[in-house]
Amino acid sequence: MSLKTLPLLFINLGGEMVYILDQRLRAQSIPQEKARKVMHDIVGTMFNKRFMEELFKPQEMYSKKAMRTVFDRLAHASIMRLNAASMDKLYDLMTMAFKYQVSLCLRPSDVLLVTLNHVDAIKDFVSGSTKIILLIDHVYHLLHEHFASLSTGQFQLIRQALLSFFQDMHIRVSIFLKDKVQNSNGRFSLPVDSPIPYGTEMPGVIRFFASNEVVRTIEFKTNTKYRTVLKPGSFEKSGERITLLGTNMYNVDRNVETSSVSQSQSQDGASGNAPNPLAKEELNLLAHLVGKDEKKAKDVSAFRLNLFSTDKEEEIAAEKTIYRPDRVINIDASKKKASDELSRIMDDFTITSNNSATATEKGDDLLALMDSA
Amino acid sequence: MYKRQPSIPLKASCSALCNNLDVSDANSSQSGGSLTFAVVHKSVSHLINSSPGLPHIYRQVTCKESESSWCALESRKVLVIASLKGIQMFEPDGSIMLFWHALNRSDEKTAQFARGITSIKSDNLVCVGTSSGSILIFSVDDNGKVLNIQLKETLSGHDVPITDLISGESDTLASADELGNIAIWKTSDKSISKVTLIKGQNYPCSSIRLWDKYIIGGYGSGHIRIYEANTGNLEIEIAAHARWVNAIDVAFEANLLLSASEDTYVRVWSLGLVDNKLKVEMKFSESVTDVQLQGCKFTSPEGLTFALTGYDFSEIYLFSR
Repeated sequence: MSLKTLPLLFINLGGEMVYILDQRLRAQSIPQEKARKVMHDIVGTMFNKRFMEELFKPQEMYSKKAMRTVFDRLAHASIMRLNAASMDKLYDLMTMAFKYQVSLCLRPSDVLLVTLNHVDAIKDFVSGSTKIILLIDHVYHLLHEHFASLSTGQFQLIRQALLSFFQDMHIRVSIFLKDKVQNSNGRFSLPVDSPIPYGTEMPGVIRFFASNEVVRTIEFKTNTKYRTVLKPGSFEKSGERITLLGTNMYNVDRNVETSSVSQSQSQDGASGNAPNPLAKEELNLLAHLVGKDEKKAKDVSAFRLNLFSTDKEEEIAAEKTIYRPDRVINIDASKKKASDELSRIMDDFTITSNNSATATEKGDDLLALMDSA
Repeated sequence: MYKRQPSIPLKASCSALCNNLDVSDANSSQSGGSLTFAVVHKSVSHLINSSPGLPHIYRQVTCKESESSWCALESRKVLVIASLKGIQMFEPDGSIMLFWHALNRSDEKTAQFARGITSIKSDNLVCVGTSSGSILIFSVDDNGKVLNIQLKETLSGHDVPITDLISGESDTLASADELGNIAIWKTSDKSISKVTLIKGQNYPCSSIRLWDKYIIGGYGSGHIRIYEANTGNLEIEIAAHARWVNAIDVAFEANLLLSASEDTYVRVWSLGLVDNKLKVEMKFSESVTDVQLQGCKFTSPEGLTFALTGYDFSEIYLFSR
């Protein structure tokens, strides 16, 4: 129920993507020069000035599909190529990591601190480029301008909207399972012995008042060891964020696996294994708007990044994805003329398709902008 | 004191919204064990009927990220859904839409929504809060032949979005907002006027209940505060939970207060008057492991059973004595 959620969702998912790509680029021993180009290209596209300004305008959240398409495009903004299985895995990791961070926020306003942790880390990745640093500084400015003075209630609406976006996603992530922060059913474990939010009070006291003065106090047992947080965390450009949520958890080199929980909890009509013709057209149109990939793919310096430990694993995962047509995007830049027709088809669908249609249309504009970057 | 019972399965998971659970007939003892629950999943309000020995009956009503609640009036009972688009009233089983009120979309820069539903039974009024801080009062007249629902009055008394509304005996209406303010209103001779304003402490007051002459609020800071409704004087403050209190409820005949929080804990508190002074004690506390609780409701005024919902989980948790 907030129109301010989209930029936070995009920046945080983008931040997680950058963490994972950095880890994989190192694990696959991609030459430093190429790796740096990839990081700079992706971060530069992600924080393109016009794109960011468009993103920060009050608007409704994208559909899950539109969001995924934006990131498919972003991941291919450089000389790196990901096949469908690797892209799926990348997106699963990104979404589950940010879902974890939003779920475990102590206070709703911590979502802004999590975002700043991501931006701080991204800035370190591109420290060599003054041009990109300027873009990032602009993002700090936008975040401060739009979010720093929001009330707790407004942050709560944003957090609820983010939780709604991630609702029913229960992909298991090996790094979370190993650290015991996720259970085998895909749910996060919520420790009761945890810090209490800054500015609040430890449970266990009942105060009785008379004429606004405390006249008596009794205590009750909570059987829980609470800790207090001593600082609120800074919303400034460089400051102490206090929370570790949103920092890079891949710094230690380890492989990260994902697996979907077999029982399908998803209630979104379009997901699941049944092919969805509407979604496919929608994606083809978006992919068309994104265009220009083909040219880049022919670049001799292009390379393929694998999110799995071995190519064999990737092949196996790729076979599994074949049966999910709604996740496969055909990028065909040669048929530019067809765009009018596709737009018309898209218009036709707007009448019959579900509520995701409006969000997708807005997605188109932003994708086009991203392209012009 | 209370023991966990088998859960009622839902067809979809519960959304992260304060007060995301209502129980039909919770205030009457004549339901014969048949209960209907309402839980919001994203843009759908799920109604589940649970009767002893019978399979659960499910019905879905499409809305848009909202809150749903039953209002029992003298004239009839309605299911009210408050959402991003406006306010809808349905037959209690959700089968037929009776009324629709669109919210004024004057401002494109902030989200408009309706939140907080209650009713004033004797006057046949349904009250719904909005994101602009105003409270819409609808009159529901049903003489058996003609049903007439109309917007009767708009109350202004809050500057920020309403979080919850509750009505009590002696024509009292209470409203809470995102800055933690609580307003007390009295209805008299067909007009409603504000009598008390209790200043908040910046944390939203997510859920309110009236008990005896007191107003009880559950806050985002984890506190529960109890004020004398007429004077607005703070009587009791409980540091009750380690996270946001998402919902509270009262069992009137048992004088019990229920609170549910994001910290996974549900707690039951006894309310009592000794020498005209209010007393509160914690009676029950349990963590529903790894579940961020969103809604809580006693299923009857005797408080023998209560129900809970949690974000991202597709079940209604039940606890009974």
